[in-house]
Amino acid sequence: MIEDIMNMLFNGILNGAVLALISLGYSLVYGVGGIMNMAHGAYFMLTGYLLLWGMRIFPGMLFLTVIFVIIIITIIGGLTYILLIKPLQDTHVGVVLITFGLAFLIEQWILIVSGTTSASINDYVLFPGTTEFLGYSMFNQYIFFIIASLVIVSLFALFISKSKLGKSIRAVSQDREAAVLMGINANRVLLYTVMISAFLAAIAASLYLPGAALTGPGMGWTYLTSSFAVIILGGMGSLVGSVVGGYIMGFVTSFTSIFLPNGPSWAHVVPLIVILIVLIIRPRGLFGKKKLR
Amino acid sequence: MGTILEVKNLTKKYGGLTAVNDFSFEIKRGEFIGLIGPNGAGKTTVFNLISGFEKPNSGSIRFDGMNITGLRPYKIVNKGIARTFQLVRSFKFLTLLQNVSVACQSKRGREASKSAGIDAHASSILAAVGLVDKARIPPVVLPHGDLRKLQIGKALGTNPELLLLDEPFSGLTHEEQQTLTDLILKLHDDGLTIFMTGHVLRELMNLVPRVIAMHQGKFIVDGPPKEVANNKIVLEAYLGGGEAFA
Amino acid sequence: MLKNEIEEKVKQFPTYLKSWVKTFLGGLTLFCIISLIALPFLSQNQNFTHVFLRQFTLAMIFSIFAASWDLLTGISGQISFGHAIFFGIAGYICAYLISYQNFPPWIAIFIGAIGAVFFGLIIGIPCLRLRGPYLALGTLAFSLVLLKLFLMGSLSDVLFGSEGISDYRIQISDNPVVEYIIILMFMIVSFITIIQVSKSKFGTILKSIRDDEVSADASGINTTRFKVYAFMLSALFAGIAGACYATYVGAVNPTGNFGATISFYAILMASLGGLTTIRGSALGAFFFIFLEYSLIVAGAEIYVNLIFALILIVVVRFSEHGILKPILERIKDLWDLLLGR
Ligand SMILES: Nc1ncnc2c1ncn2[C@@H]1O[C@H](COP(=O)(O)OP(=O)(O)OP(=O)(O)O)[C@@H](O)[C@H]1O
Ligand SMILES: [Mg+2]
Repeated sequence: MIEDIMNMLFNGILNGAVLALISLGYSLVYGVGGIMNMAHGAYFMLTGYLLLWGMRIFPGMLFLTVIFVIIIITIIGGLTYILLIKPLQDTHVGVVLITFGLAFLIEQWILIVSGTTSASINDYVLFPGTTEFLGYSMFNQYIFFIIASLVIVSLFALFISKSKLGKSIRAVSQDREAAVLMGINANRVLLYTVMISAFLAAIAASLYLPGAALTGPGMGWTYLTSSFAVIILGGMGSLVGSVVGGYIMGFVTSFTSIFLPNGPSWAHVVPLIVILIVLIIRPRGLFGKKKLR
Repeated sequence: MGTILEVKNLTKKYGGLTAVNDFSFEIKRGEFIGLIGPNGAGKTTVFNLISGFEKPNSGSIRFDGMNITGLRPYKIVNKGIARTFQLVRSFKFLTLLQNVSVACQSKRGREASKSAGIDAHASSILAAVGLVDKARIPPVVLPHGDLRKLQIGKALGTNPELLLLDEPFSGLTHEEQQTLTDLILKLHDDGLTIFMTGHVLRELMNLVPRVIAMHQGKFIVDGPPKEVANNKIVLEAYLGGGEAFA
Repeated sequence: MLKNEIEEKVKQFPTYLKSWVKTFLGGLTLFCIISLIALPFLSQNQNFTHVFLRQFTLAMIFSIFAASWDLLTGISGQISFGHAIFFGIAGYICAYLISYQNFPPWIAIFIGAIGAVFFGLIIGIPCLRLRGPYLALGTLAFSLVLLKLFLMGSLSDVLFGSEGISDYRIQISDNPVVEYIIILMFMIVSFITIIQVSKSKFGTILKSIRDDEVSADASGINTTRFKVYAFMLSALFAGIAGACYATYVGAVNPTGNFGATISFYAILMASLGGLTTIRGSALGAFFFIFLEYSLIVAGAEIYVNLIFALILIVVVRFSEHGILKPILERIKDLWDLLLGR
């Protein structure tokens, strides 16, 4: 029982740390540009596979590979904005369709190269080994990841409130036209926002996935819908909401998978059920001010 | 003549900002009346509350004796209140005729078009607002003045008893303003009760016999334009650049 | 109102038909219908009927599916990324009724489609709170819930697990020509209905909600109700397609009938043809199915989805109206030239 509880708490924090990082960027992009990037989950998934391939090509250079992969994903985020999103910004349907197409393209590409089977990237952890705590043993990589996630979230908050770019981002998200009048280049701000979101997803993936597993190219969709659930729960465009929502969702899933009968399979359905409940009871989410539009 | 609209102690808050503050007034059937106030005074919010696009924090709105506070917009339209928007809105991929015919398919619109049929009724409305020769084109190619007329046409399609016009003159050339004024006056002569906003007082001055002024969400004064224009608080509220008579 | 409108349509039908055939689009459509009717009688060859003709049948099934998506997304503006829900539910109901309850296929298809309408209602209502991109993700989430529920081992007693249902009796007819003709009928009826709906007063209201929901509200339209209608109507046709697909394959399973790929196909085919054109969906579906078929014949099956994803990106990025309009314009120029206009 104690074991179960520890397990639930630890996994809850862990899931929360992943979801917070992914949702933060996702929510940011939506809040700033009204852009729903359907390829966001694909960035996460792609990071895992690039890491897998990268390590096969450059064995022994784990740290460099991780950094390299994160950079690539960030660039892919930027290219997504410049080549696909920006030209279609006026039509919501267009952006959704084209980023959906991109996500599908990435998924299919990986499928061709790698097949459907899941792959283990357990060997590519930066911090191997485990640590005992109250008789419960925890994977060092995860401990590192949880701490790193907290640090990144705090740095991010600092960046948004203090830095010049952060201030422009806030300005554009509050009132794009006014921001443009103030001389802010809204397109450039959006470009950076999408890149930051891809960067955050890549960090989450490269620190978390090596301990978990690559469950197949379709996993991108799972993370996309999970982070969608998180931002619905936390409130669209609310950064605090995505972090808190991420952790709540993390605990709910870990609780379900450990304490409910057939838990692990139900755990996948939980985020989706949360979406539905929130939509029906409190459509603006926990921290959202605006109604959904 | 009876009261058509009765607004009592209406209050709407957005976070810390009180956009409409304990606002009350009455409109009699057949009246033509203006609502003025500087930018951000809360005029559009008052309209949003009456037409159901926003729900008040407190206060009540009665139309024709019925309590309509917090009803959904389409229900309010079905009772007989139609509105236009400050920023023109239209169905951009539909023709003008279709734009109006959508409104003719609301509950009251259907009743009004029972004898003539929906399309014929819609085109008679287009004729009334002076757009009948453009019935088959979509609104995207229209000049701004025509879009304002289309707004009114769409509102008329629902066969209203009370028409709310939010800044109908904004962005129009002098000529366009003139034709629109004629149109609005004609509608009023035909018996429609009209309530319209404007932030420039002079536009309204020569048009309406009665004006309500508001500032920072609060009621200031209600009376003939001359009286309102000489009110101290109104003058102060507009002092920022004398835009009241600009 | 609706009744009058329909009565009027029926009364004017003969004259309407005559003038319609004379128009370019009418003539072309009629030509396509006649070709499709004549096609199965071209050859008795086994290879022709059992392979080639069946590709047409498949394309027609997906035409209906894509058109139903276009009705919901293109006409009514409600972006659905979970259209597989309706497709899959109808397929499952149909397969279950035939295989476990010995229903005749006709009735099973009919009940399957009704089941889809019911899902349109249940899904439409919570999704009404969502707009635009949120709706896209909400519907995607919905379809993933269903997919996962159907895949779940612990529910396999009720939902048949990952194996699904498979039975040789799940078919319209074992004669591919008969199957083809029946599906063709379904397609013609579905397309006429969808096109007429989109042209009707009711369709105008749906389009008005798509163009500006606030304005539709202000025009006294109960937008909620009409959006639910749109969901149900679209689900009906998606359901017909899904049930037909189940009989076409002779089996159903979670990924094959509920998978996100299925929703993607609808989106792809309809966008390829051009949103809001309805007819474009058919063009998109035929293009899709035959390109897929050629790729499979060429042994490049695994590239199918990759290529389609690329096509979708290119079409959405560079051609706002899909491929139908540009193609039609070319043909019309030719037509006008021939008629010396
Ligand atoms: N949805 C909203 N959320 C938050 N604040 C709002 C909202 N709508 C209006 N406000 C605020 O309420 C106040 C009143 O706005 P309103 O649009 O009613 O003014 P107005 O008199 O119509 O001004 P204008 O002449 O510019 O049209 C303004 O300060 C505005 O910023
Ligand atoms: Mg205003």
